[in-house]
Amino acid sequence: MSPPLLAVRDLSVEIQSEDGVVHAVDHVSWSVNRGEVLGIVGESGSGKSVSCLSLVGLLPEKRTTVTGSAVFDGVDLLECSEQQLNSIRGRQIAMIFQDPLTSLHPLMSVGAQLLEAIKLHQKMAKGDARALAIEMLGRVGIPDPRERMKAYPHELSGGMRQRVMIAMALINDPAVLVADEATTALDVTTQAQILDLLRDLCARADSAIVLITHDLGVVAEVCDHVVVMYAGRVAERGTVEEVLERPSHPYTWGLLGSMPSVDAKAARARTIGGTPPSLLSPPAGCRFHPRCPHALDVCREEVPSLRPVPGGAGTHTIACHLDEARLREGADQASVLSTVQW
Amino acid sequence: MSVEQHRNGRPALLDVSGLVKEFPVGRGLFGTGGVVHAVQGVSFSLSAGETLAVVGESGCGKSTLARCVLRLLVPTAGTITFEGIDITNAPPRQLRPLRRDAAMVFQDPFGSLNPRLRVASIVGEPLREARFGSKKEIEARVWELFTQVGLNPEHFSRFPHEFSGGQRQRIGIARALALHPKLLVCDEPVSALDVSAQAQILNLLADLRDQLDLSYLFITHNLDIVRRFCDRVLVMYLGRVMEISTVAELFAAPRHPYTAALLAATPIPNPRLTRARKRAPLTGDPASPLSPPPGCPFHPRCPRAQQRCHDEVPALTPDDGSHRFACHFPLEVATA
Repeated sequence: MSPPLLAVRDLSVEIQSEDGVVHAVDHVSWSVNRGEVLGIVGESGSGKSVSCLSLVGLLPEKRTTVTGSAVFDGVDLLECSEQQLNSIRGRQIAMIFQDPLTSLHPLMSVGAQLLEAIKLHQKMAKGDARALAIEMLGRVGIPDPRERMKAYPHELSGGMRQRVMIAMALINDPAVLVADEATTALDVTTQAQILDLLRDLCARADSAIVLITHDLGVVAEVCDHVVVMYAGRVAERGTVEEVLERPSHPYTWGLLGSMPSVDAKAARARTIGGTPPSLLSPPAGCRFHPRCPHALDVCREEVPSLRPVPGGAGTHTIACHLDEARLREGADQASVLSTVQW
Repeated sequence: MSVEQHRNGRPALLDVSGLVKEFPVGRGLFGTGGVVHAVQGVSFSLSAGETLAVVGESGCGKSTLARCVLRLLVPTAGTITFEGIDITNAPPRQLRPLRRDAAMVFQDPFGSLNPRLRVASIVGEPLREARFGSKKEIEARVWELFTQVGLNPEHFSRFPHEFSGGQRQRIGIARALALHPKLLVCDEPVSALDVSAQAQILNLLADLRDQLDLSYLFITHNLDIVRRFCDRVLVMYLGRVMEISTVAELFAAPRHPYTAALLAATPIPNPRLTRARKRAPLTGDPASPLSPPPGCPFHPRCPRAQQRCHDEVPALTPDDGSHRFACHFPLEVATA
């Protein structure tokens, strides 16, 4: 088997803030292969965005300490100079952000922004670049791309703007596309179109997609593998079938139970009590223990390391101290939740 | 309307009929830049104790509808009756009972709380405005509200920024409940929150509904929330009602192609189920409310559209008490 396209090992990120050190990401590992979609799920503050931003050096350098490794195509991104990163960012690793209106330049036409993206990374005659830009807009499903080259961001709808962002991210044919909540701000019918587009592009261009989201429904729709993060650590990791049909970490159980689509007949949602911890002084032991209904004494003291789920395939791992019987019981209950009939 | 008015055996709290709201778009000193047709002839009624969801995508006019109902906007045409009193064009003085009996919970728990006021004075503001009582009485009521929405009353003198998103939404709900309203208009109350906070707030709203016998007009774009939380649902597209039905019936057998498309586009958190669904995603985007298409507003995106849909605006089917839709070629009800 060829090595993964992007392999993150033991990534930790600490950010200096006015109030102290924020332990945003703590020893996180994951990898993604060509032609695969990896989903990173978690609530706000779980470190899912920060971990991806740190890979491409997009965090304020003076105030952040990043340790671990992130090997992309044989090169450790965390060892790269700013100059090397500049040639990778946007060229080989591209990003799409949640809000297309603030990520697009309001005073530049769509065409000019696309041409700029090409000019930064490829040597190409003006006419060819223009043709490429128009072709790209067409490929992401923008009708009448030649006309739309002249449009300014405010003239486009939210879905159209997000398509422009995707066109811009894909224009240099990147090997990895990081989509940070790329469909969260969109309407469901538009979201369905964009997800189809991403899945299609991934299969056709043989690139890898890292999809950061809080929506387990979106994960089920497009991802091959999933990493569930809580308070800067990986709680559960596995294929999408393993994690969503046989969820094995108490946090994943809570997350699934909170989804309004799940168990709609129940008058009340099963919620996770409390709120996520402050990462200035995260709780000792398992960071989820103050909210975990199953917490044991050991959870308060010892950080659980990732281990294979008992009785599961080796690809499915969790960071939890619970014993096999408790895990099986919880997984049984939670898997019923996710297969509720439509 | 007799059937509508006596749903669940209780009289209509709110009755909206043929509501139209248009916004002129100014362009220069002379001449007009056109008109935004935000709401185009919406009718519905809401009984006491009932929760009606208004569903639709951004720009469909659902928030404008909510603001008209509370008379934060003056409708262009149509009538709004609240507890039997026509409030469509009532002057501010006559709106006082409405301001007491109906309140709003906003989407953005960050933008809707004044960052310079302590939370106790935010929650107490409607009480002071309505001359509820002495300082002591107001303080006691605020205390009670804090407990009711699950906030720690010891956090009385904190500022909004010291709270998480979910807690801030609780503050917004406490403020809305201050004057014992009968109707809460909730405009996307949980869409800015994390999944776990969402579930907590929805549970709180459900509990309050039972304890205080509230009615909700619940604006959302999330069909999952509708299914869990609401009794009836009104589906809007470009300012018009596409379908209005009980929740059970709408989810079991949607009749309007737009409703069906919305249902099919909602992701399910199970990979096998969600990928096994056959679905033809809608193409294109909604038209601009500045220049809605002729005929059925949905026809340019509708897989079932025919010439008639272009020529003629479909009327809502007659009220049979549970399910109405506006479509020339509705989906069949599967007979099993």
